[in-house]
Amino acid sequence: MTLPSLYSVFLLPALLMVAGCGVNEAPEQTSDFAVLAQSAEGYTSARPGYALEFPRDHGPHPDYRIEWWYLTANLQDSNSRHYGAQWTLFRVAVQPPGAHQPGNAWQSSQVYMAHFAITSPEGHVAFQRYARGGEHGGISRSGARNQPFAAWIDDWVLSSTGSDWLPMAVRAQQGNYSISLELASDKPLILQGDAGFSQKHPAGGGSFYYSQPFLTASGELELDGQRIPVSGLAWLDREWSSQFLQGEQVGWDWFSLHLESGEKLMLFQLRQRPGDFQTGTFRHGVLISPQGGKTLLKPEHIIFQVLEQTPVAGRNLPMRWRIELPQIERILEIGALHSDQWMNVDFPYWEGAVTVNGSGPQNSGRGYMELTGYAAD
Amino acid sequence: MMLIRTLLKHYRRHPVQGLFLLVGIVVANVLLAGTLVINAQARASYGQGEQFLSAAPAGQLRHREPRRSIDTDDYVRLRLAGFDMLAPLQRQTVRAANGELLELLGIDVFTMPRPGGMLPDGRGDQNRDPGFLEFAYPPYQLWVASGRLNQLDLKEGDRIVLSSGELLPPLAAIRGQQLGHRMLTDIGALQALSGNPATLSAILVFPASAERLAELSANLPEHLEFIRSDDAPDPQELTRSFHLNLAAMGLMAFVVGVFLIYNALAFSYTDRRELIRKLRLAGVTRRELALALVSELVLFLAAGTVLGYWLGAQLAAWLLPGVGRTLAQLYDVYIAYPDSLVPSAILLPLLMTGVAAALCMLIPLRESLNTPMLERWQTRWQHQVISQRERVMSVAGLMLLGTSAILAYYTSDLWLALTGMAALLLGAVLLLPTVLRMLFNLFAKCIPAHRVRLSWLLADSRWLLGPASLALMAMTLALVANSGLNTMINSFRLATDQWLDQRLAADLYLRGGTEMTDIGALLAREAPGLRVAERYHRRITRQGSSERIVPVEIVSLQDGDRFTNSVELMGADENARIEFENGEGIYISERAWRIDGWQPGESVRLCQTHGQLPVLGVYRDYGNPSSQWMVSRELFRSCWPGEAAAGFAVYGPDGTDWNQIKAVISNHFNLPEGRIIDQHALKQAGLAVFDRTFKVTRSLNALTLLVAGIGIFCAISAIHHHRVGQQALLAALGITRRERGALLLLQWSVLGLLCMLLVWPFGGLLAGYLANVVTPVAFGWSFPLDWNFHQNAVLAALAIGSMTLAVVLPTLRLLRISPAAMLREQTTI
Repeated sequence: MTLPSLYSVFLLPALLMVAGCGVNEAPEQTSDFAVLAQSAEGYTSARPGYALEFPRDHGPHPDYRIEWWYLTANLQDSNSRHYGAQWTLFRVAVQPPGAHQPGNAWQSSQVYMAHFAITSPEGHVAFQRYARGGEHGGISRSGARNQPFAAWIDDWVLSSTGSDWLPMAVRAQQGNYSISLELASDKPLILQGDAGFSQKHPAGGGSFYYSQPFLTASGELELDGQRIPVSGLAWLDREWSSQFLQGEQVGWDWFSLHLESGEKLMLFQLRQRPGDFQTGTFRHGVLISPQGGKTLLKPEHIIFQVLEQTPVAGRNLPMRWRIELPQIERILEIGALHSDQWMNVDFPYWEGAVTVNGSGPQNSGRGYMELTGYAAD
Repeated sequence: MMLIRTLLKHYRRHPVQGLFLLVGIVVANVLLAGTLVINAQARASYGQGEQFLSAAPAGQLRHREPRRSIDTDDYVRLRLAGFDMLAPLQRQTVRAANGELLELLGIDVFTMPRPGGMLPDGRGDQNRDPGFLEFAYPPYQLWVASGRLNQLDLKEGDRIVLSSGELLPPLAAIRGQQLGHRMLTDIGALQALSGNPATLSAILVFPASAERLAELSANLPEHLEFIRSDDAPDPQELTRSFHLNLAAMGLMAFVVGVFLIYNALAFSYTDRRELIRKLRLAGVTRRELALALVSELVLFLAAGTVLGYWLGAQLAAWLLPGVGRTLAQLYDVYIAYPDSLVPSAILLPLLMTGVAAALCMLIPLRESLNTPMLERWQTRWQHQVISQRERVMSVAGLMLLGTSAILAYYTSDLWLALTGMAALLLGAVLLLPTVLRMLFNLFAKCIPAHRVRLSWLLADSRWLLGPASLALMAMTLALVANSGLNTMINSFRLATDQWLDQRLAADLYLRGGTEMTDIGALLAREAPGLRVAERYHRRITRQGSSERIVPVEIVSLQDGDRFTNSVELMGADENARIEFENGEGIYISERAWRIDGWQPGESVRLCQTHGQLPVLGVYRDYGNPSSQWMVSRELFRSCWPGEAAAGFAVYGPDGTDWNQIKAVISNHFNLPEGRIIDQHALKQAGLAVFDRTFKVTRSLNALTLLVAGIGIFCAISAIHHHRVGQQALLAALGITRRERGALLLLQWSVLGLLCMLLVWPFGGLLAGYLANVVTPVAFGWSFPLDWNFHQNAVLAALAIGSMTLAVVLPTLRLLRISPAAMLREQTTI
């Protein structure tokens, strides 16, 4: 028995259940599905009608099973070479609130997991860490707080640089790789879905979800010991829930796009069955104007078409897409910066920088794509 | 082939002889293979280094003050500073309700290292072991090696009850985690046990780049130090003596086995002389005969060695947890209890047995083949042949004893010490036939001429010394070893007991110091009659005599007669105590003197503040695997003024209610159980550790006795095969069955008792050799011998008993046969 199996058994299903990341339909993984079917009993459920409030909701919500702080950045250096950076902190409650009274800090029911990844023209690296919540002598290896905002595992930190939420900074280092970016915006954050409640299933399940898609990023990346000054655009997603995906939902395709027009576009589809992009999927999309105004897209007006599949890590992944949005008269062609942006973590998924091509600034730009739940061949 | 078949037919007629040859080979192999496998297993474990969840740390962060634990926030701060190669570790020894000490390790599975610094390709490990699911959350799991589980006589799912009444998490037998003696659980579960501090015993440092490790060292808080695994004492070096001793026991059993092999071969060849003569007459050459007999032996060797090796491996698996416990308690070294034993070379036992058997067969083979073709073989046990052989053996025996004496005086090398011990054993045994013959001769002179039956018995016994001497020698060898080891262990235990009595000068001992600095004030208020002594402790390294840098513990000794008298010096001048109290010199432990080579009178460098200080005396320090220097409290304080007390010792007048004082102190400082211990409990704990430590030795010792029993049984059975004619003769003379039985039993009992005459003095000599030569060289501890005659009487009774049993069974068969049948059988040989 080696250590990775701990994570694949114990922690991953809990994350999978909500995030849908890396769900794998390989037959040997049926045990995951058993866990997926667990109910959110004992935890607080995400339901419409809850009024999000800040800075309170920047911090953790330990009564919900899962939560994340998810930052992606499309960056370029002085030679206009393109880079991508991802920093994510997941929080998982492994026991419902009140199920077990911790006798010491190690017995905290809150577990944190973080990923950070850098994509460069040459390749992609990804790292992960785990920690339990719980304070030892007033300090904790991992956690989040709302005021002044911070979310961290060890020295992987996303935090406000002053007393306000923005500007903030993200830093993480592993060996000869690091990211260090300042993030700022004077635009408002966006409550996704219905005033912050984002439906994820026709039957009504979902999560609380808000974003700050207007961040500008500047700082440096360290790649194999080489420091590269970069700047660009970043997108922060915040989401928490107790039961996110339903049992039959196996994965998703997610896009967060910075259009050259200054608009932001967020699209996702939750897939019912592997490889089936047309039926049974739950689609959602929103166009955000440069001023922060939202246009919700009708699901039937979001048309995904896979143009090209590429073998990645033993799977066929859709690396080029054509997306038609007749409601707002857009046709976008989306392609990965390169296909090797596989997050080779305990429960792997594809998360990487993409380019958006189309006619005019409203149909072109850059962004991030996330593909989860594709089975290995 | 035909020839071999003809020769082997002999064993069909005398299956017991074939069986005894096989038993000899098996006996020679079992303990030899067993100890070899154990040693190989331990070495494999040392080679792998300490592992936690299959990952070997590059080192550990420890508190600079020995035995001090580390605050968890120190660890968290280092992690927050980015040192992600760190993982927390808590070690805790708890006492089960049945008194068993359990060593637990608490880890945080979330922090244990992932394979490689970067993430591996592919999907990673797909093992789905449900064990992990329960590891980190209630009710938790207590991971245990299955060997340890058997040792504790528990099964999976059981929960161990502690002396505090609390339950440990359910036991889970885990394969492939190199757990060994220790058990693994979640650190949160471990800290939830009442009285366990919320601190860490160490911070594990997993491999990282050299620069990163240097950065870590540079960023450590003042009170932490990074001890690299490479710098830690090499367990192989530390435990060398133990493994050598184990190997020596295996070798001794091997020698006993070789005696048996010789015995069996001698009988088998002697019995076949007639057959061999006939074959020679039929035209078979000596060469062909020799080849056939060698092939026959090779067959036996192959079967016996494989069987012996297999049994040895089973024995090793059975003993390994005991060895693990001994190593843990003796050296703080932990070996894995593997799920399957490492394949250790079978070649060595095979080769050794092969060579020994070849030597064993040499003389009987030559004698058989050289028998003149036209002569019958009865001359075999002729007086001249026997006495010549006995003379050679006596001379060899005396030479071996001389060698042993010389080695005892001059050696400081463990191999030579063990060689000396082997020489002593063999020398004693080789003298046995001569000594016995001399005794019989002496008896013969004392017996009046009219006691015909007695005279016959004596004469017959003298004759018996020829064929039976080897069996008696094998038995004597095992008995001498057994008696010697028993005396040694009992003496050592008594010495430890007395030493503990003397050394535990205070009544209460408190571990850990910083939070208890005002204990003096507390006791002055609560119990004014009591006094407190601070105890200081520090680890340093110094260059020993052999150029090696060795770790040395420095301990302080409180002033005052009560404490200074608690240290008994081995040969020091009368001013030593005064000079010691004045801080003008130091005492060193016996190990520091014997193993690391500092000599009384020599000057050593203690610390920067003081120049060279003389070694004033040597004191005994049983059970401590490292060297120790003792200094007066004042001297310690002037050397290391910043060092906090490692503990306190409280003492006072007789009649003090120590339980009440204990309660007052632990309530005041909120001390968990284990931080405060009274003299009595400390001594009990010490002796319990001693007993567990010697459990394996005692087991092996009992096994050698068993081997001796088997040997004597085989030998007597074989001899009785040849006594048929003699019994027939007695029967023909009108001696009744009952009388014949009594005579036989009397004869063997006398032989047994006479052997004991040799066993007593040589057992004592062996014990002395172990106590004064082997143990001091191996461990650096010596102790006075305790002559416990009661124990030797028990051994004598046991020997005669097992001998009687070994005689009774073959004798019954002998007595059942009618005289006529006996005579017929006699003529058919």
